[in-house]
Amino acid sequence: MTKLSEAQIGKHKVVSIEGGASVKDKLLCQGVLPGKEIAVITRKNKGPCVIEVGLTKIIIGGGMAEKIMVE
Amino acid sequence: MKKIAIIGNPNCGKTTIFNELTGARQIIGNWPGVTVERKEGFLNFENQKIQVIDLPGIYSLSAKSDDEKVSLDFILNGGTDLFLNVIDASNIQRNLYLTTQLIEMNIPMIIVMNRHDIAINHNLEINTEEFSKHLKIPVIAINSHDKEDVYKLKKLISEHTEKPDTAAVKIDYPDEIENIISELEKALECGLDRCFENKRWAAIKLLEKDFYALSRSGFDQKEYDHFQKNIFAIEKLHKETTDIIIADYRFGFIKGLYEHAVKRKSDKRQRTEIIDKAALSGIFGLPIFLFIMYLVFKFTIDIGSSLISFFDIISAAIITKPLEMLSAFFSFPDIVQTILVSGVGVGIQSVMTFVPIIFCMFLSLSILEDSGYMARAAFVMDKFMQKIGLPGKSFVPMIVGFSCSVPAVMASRTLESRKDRIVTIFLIPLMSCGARLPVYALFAAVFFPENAALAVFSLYAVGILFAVLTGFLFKKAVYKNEVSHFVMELPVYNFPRPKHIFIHTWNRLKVFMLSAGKVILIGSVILAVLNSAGHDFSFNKDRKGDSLLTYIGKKTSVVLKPMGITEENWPATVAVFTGIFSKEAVIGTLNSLYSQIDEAEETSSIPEMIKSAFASIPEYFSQQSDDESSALFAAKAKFSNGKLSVYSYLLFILIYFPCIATLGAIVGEIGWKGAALSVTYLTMLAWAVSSLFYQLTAGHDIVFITASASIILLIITAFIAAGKILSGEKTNADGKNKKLS
Repeated sequence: MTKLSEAQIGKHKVVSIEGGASVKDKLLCQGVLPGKEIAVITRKNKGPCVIEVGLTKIIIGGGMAEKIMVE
Repeated sequence: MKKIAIIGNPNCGKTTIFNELTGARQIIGNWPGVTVERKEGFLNFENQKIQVIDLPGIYSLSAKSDDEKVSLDFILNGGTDLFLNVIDASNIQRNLYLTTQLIEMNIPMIIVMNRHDIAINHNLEINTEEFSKHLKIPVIAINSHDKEDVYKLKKLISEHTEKPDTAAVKIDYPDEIENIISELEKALECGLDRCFENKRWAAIKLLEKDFYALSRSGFDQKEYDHFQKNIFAIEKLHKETTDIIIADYRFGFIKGLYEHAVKRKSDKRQRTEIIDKAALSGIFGLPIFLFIMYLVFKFTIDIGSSLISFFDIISAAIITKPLEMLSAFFSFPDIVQTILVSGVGVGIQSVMTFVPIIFCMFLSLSILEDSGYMARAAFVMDKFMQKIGLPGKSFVPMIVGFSCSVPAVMASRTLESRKDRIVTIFLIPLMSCGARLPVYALFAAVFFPENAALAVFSLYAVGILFAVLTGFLFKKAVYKNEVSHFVMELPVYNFPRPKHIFIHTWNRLKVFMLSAGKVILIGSVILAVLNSAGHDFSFNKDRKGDSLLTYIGKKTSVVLKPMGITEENWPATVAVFTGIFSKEAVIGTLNSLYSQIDEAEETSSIPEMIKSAFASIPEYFSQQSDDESSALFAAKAKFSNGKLSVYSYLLFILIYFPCIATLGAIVGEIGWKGAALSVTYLTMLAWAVSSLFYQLTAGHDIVFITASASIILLIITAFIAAGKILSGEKTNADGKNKKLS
C-alpha cells in the first residue's frame, strides 16, 4: 500500500482516502472511491498526478494525492 | 408567477443558459448570510413570465460548502415549480452524480444536456429519449449558443412548469442498506416540513452522515444513535463506510444508465493521448506551457497595445470632444465642465483604452480554456504553486498580471475556491504590469544609465519575491488548515469553437466595462475635480500647477520623506497620486511639473482625430522615438541622495495602491471589503519596504527604521489575527456539526 503521490505509473486500486470530509467529498464527486480501479497516467515527483477513472482522466493536486492510499 | 431554478456542476454552461433564458435584465445579489452570488431574472415566453434563479455550481448536495448549503436549503424551502438540471453532455457520468441526488429528493425537474456540439464532436451519440424513458422526466440536449435549441428549451420549460414531472426511478442500494432505510422510514412520523414527506431521502442522508441535511429532515442525533449499531454492522460487513457504499451504488446506477443511452461511435481520445504525451511530460510540459504563455503575451502586447491609441483617440473624438464642445457652447460653469470633460469624458476614454488589451487577453484565455489546454497548464504548474498554497491554475492569472492587472484580476474567476481567488487577487498587483515598465525604464535610463536593465529586472524580481512572500503569509498564517485540494477533470482536446469563444470574451469585456468602468469613472471625476480646484476651492478648468492636487502633494510629501523624497521634490508626491489614476502617469506628471511646459493644446477637429486614430496603428509598429525622458533629467537633481532614493521611490511605485482600473476589477471580483483590505495591505507594505530600503542603505534614521519595521510586524500580526478569526469561525461551525454527530 502506498500513497498515490508515490505510486508507480499503471493500474492501482484505491484503498482508502485519509483526510477530512471535504477531501473525501471532492474525490467522491469525481468518482474516486475506495475499491475503484484507477490508472496513474503521469505523475510528477512527489506531487500532482493524472489518473484515469472509468472513461475520464482527472488531475489530482499534490496535496490531495498524498491523502489517497492505493495498492 | 411560476418559479424555476437552474442547478448543475461548476463549468457546465449553467450561466450561459441562465443568460439565454433571462436576457440582459438580471438581479444580482448575495444569498442571505453567505458570500455566494445569487442571480435572478425573468423568462418571458409567449405571454408567460417565469421567475428564474441561478443556483451556485456544485458537484453534490452534501452541504459541505456554502455553495452546497445554499442550494440544499433552497430546494428544501420549496416553492419552486421546476428545476433545470444542467449537465455537461461531454462529461455525462460525473454530472449525473448530482442528478442522482436530485432524483432522490423527489423534486420536479427536467434535464438539460448542454454542450451537445462538443459531445457530437467527440463522437458521442446521446439518446435523450432513452434517458427520459428511464428517469420518467423530460431530457433535452442543446447547444446553448444555438437560437433554435434555446427556443426548444424555453418551450419545454413553459410546458412543464404547468405540469411538472418528478423522476420516478429508485436508485437501489444493497439489501442491508435498504433494510435500514425502510426501518428509518417507519421511524419517521409524518410532520409538516416538506422533506418529512420524503422519508427515503432523509434515511439516505442519515446513512451518508450528512448532519446538516439531517437537521433539516426530521431526524436528529437520537435516530442516529439508535441506528448506529446497525450502521456499524453494515460497515463491518462491507469493510466500507456507509457514505462510500451509497456513492458507489449511485455511480453504479449512473454507469448502467450511461451504457444504455450513450454510444461512442469512434474514439477520439487517441489524439488527446498523443498530445498529452508531450503536454504533460516531465521534460516538455513546462517548456510547452511557457511557450504558449509567451504566445498569449505576444498576441496581447502586439495586437492589443497597437490598438490602444486607436481606442483612445476614437473615444476622445466621439465622447470627450463633443462633451467639450457642448459645455463650451452652453458655457457651463467651470466645475460642470471639469466633471463632464476631464472627469466623465476622460474616464470613459481610459476605460476604452483597456478594451483592446482585455479583449485580446480574454480571447487567448478562452481559446486555451475551450481547447482543453488550461487543465494541462494547471497540472504543469501545480507543484510549484502548491508551495505558496495555491493550485496550479492560479498561475495563469498571475502571469497575465505582467501585462495588465485588470484582466489578470478578472481571470482569477476561473479558480474554483473563494480562498484561492482572494489570495491570487492579493498577489496580482505585485506582478509589474505593462504600465509600470515605462516608469521603471525611463527612471533607470536617467538614473542608472550603466545598469538600466539590471535595475528594471531587479524591480520585477522584487515584485515576484513579495508575491511569493505574501502567498507564504496567507498559507502559514491565514489559511493554515486549508490545503488547496485540487481535483479537476482533464477534458478531451477540442477544436476551439469560434462562436462560443467570442461570446465568452464579449461577456467578460462587458463585465469589465460595467463593474470596473464604474469605479474608474468615479475615480476619474474625483481626480479631475482635485486637479482643477485651487486650494482656496476656486475653480478653473485650465488650472496648471497650483491645483488642490498639487497642494495635497506638497503637504503630504512629508510622508515620503523616509524614502529620501525631500519637500522640494514635491512633484514626486503628486506623481504618486496621479499614478493611482494610471501608473504610466507618474512619468507624465513629473515631466509636466518639472518642465513647466504646458502640453500642446489639442485643437484638432473630430474628423482629424478619427484620421489620426487610424494612423496610430501603423505608427505603433514603426516605433516612433520617445523623448519624454528629457524633462526627467531636470528631476535628477531633486532626488537627494540620488540613486538610493530613486530606487526606493521605484519600489514604492511597484508595490503601492494599484491603479483605479485594477481597483475596479478587484471590487468586481471580491467586493469592496476585500478590495479595501488589498489596497491597504499594498500601500502599507510599499511604504514600509521602500522606507526600510532607503533608511538601511542611506538614511540610517533609527525612528524611520523602527516605524517601517513595526509596520511590517503589524501586517504579519494582522494576517495571523485574520487566520485566528477564520479558524475560530470554522471550529464554531465544526462544533455545531460535532454536537450532532
